[in-house]
Amino acid sequence: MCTFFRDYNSELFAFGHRIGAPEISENDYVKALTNESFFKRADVEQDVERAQPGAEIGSEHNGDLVRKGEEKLSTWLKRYLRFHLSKAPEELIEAVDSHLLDDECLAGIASHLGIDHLVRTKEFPVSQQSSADAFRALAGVFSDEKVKNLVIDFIVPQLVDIDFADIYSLADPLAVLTDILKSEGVTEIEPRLLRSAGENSAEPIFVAAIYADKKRNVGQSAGESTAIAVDMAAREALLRLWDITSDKVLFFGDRAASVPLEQYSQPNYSLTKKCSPGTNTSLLSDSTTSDPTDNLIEDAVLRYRNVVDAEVGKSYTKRLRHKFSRGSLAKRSFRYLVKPKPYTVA
Amino acid sequence: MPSVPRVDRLKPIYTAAKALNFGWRFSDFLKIPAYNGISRYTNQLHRITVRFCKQSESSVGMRNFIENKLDEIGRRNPSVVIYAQPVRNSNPSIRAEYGNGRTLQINAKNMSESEVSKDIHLLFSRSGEPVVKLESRQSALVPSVQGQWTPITWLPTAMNTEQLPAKKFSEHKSTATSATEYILQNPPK
Repeated sequence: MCTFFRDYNSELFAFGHRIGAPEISENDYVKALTNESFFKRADVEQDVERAQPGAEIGSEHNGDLVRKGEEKLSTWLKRYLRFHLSKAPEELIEAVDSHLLDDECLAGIASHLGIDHLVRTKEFPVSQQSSADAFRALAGVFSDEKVKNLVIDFIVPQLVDIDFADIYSLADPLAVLTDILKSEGVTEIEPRLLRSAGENSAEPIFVAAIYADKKRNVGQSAGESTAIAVDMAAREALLRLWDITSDKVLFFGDRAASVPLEQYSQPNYSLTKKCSPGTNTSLLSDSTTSDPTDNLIEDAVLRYRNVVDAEVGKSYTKRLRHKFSRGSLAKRSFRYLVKPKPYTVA
Repeated sequence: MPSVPRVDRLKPIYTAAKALNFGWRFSDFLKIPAYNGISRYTNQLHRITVRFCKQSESSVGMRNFIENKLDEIGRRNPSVVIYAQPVRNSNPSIRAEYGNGRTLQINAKNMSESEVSKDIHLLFSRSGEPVVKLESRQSALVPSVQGQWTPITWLPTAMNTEQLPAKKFSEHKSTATSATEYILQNPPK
């Protein structure tokens, strides 16, 4: 234990300054940081004298604040995304928004801000859900301008590391791409294999590109098999079409705050409406199984792992590795390598 | 008589440990906790606990620091909570807790007031990440600007339809200039 006794009021004061909103009253902070389960905690329920921090500090929970805050965060984040990804469909904006505002991401941000030490909940350690809810409730308490700053300062920097193709992963990107290009006047869309190496090895690579009208390369990418490579190339082509490239400059900090984001409240175009009715614009679901690979070695390895190992099991030397270990180099003496030299005893 | 008498020496153990990348010797690239500084810089230090003894001589500097400098530091950094904890018969120390959950401790035994304030200033400026030996003097968020080189990147397209071995790809390349090349590069005036 580091500090013998933490002072809740001081911690709240410091937290207010850390998050950039010191003007908000302590009661509002306490309400935002109190989870509904707190009042079911045994020592709080029975009014124990030194329950830390006790129920006498605040007796309201953050249920409705969570809903309000969630809406506010989502609104501002979508406005920011629509400003930067103006050519992208609304489905992608919504996918990115829901990913960046899900429990895991918000709980990570919250723990770095120190919310985990301030949240009042029944469970310990604080669950991801409670932590994320506390962050949303804080957004519910803040003014509109402050929520905009919150989004720009804490949530938006994560865009630096995310992969847009992973977050908005279409089930059939080539069909969508074909549809969109045809609506722009392209007649021929074909995937072509550019390179291949190591077809029958453990790590084959195929580089495929999608060509429009036999001349223009709209997107290229690599993959372990031709099907995967074409899929990745189609995804790359769609991202390129929507102007989402790795050299895109995103606005951060003051530069982002000075942009009039309120003007971007209208949703972007919908991909489902833009494509013809037959095209599959659904997302890849998590439960899709990987198609059987046409790679011999991978098949053999997987067969051994799934079929043979399940029946025969692992060898003793693998299961009981610690019993077969003769010790580290320092423990093994190598005495047997040095043969004794005979001396005459005079 | 043993073949080679084995004597434990600290030097080979230390030299061997220098090659390890775990335990008490880390080498890594520089890391930022939670994308701090990209949009806004927040001080990663959350709370500092200053432990000292009210009686012993080793805490003199610490006691002077608390009397003279601590107030000002607290006023200038409102986002950090400062605790002063008197502990009998103990070494004075400064414990700092950071946003990434790590705690750092500096033993302030026999330190003067100025040394303590230097260490406090150090703790205020750190991010809580462990001190590491740098893998490289450069580190960037983006792994590659032009795209990572692969053996395929600059493959000539003619190689796609070629049956290997092909004579034109088996030519020996050398940096040494031949006589013909020299004359072509430096034509006589």
